[in-house]
Order: sequence, then C-alpha cells, then structure tokens
Amino acid sequence: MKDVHEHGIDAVFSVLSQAGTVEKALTNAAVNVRAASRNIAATLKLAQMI
Amino acid sequence: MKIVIAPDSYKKSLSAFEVATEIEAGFREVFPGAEYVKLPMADGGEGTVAAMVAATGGTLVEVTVTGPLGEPVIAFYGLTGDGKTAVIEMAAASGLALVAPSLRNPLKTTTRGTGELIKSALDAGIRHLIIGIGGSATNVVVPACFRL
Repeated sequence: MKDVHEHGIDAVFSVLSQAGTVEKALTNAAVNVRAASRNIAATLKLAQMI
Repeated sequence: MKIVIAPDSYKKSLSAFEVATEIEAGFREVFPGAEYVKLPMADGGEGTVAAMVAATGGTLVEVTVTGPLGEPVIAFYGLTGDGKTAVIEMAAASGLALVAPSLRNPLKTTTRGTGELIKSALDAGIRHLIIGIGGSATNVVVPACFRL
C-alpha cells in the first residue's frame, strides 16, 4: 500500500472484511462492496465535521 | 454533494454497473441526500461490452462463433444506443473463462471467433467497431482473428 500512497493515492480500503475462501469472497461480493462503501462514506462524513 | 461512481467490473462476481449500484447503496446509508452519477467503466476485457451498452442505452446481439478450442460458443457484441457502433470484446468469443484451467494452452487456442464477431457486425452493415482485446485465451491476436 505504501507504493500507491507514493503515487498520489491517499487511502486504500479493502472490500474484504475477513479471511475466507475465494468462493465465499465471490459470493459475498455485493454485500462486501456495499459495506466497504458505507464505511468510506462514514469516514468522509467524519472528515467533514473536523 | 455530487458523487461520481466509476468502477470496473469485479471478475466472476459483479458487473461494473452492479458494483456502482452497491457503492451507491453503501454511500446512501451515510449521505442519503447526495446526487449520485454512476459511470460503469471497463478496460477492454470482460465487461467492456456491458459497460458500453449500459452507458449508451444500447443492446446485445448474440452470435454463435468458434470458441477458443474450436467448439461453437454463443458469444455477443454490443450495439450502441444510436445503432452505429458495434462494441466487441475478445473475451466473449475467445476468452480465457471459456477454457477449463487444465485445457489452457495458448499454442492451441484460437481467436477465430473474435474475427467471426467482427464479420457478423460488418455483415449487419455496421462500419464503426470498438474492439476490446483483454481477457483472451491466447497471446496472439492478429493471425486467426483477421484470417477469415
């Protein structure tokens, strides 16, 4: 992740929230993307309030 | 607040439009009043046609062509909303996903099916083609694809 930070990407969030099989990751892709997006949005909202 | 959502597809799980829809849903839990613009993207591989069709309000055209191992496969190309441009992805006709892992051998696979998709679009009178060459089961593009 340090490499991408050096190229101007400020933060990186993982869609996966726990270790598991590839099959499970593929099956839960929609739920995981939604949850990660919700957390990114919450982080942005916190930053707005600082 | 205006939020532009421009994802690629997730291999084997979500189309680019589905990814964008889930991202919007997650953001809406926190920012329900924001304006959301979904722009599905693609890199020329699998999902390129779906993204272009979604972006232009186009349609899919199914064509049976020669698969990567010579067997018939039902492939497709996209027609943009104005009906003037065909969007073809090599992955649909000659894609790695069409070959079982144990049979993957770029010395044996062919891109002939991609050429057949191109011919099909030309035969339908379409003169503008956008061809994405990602996700193929081969590492040689030109020979079979353009030797019809």
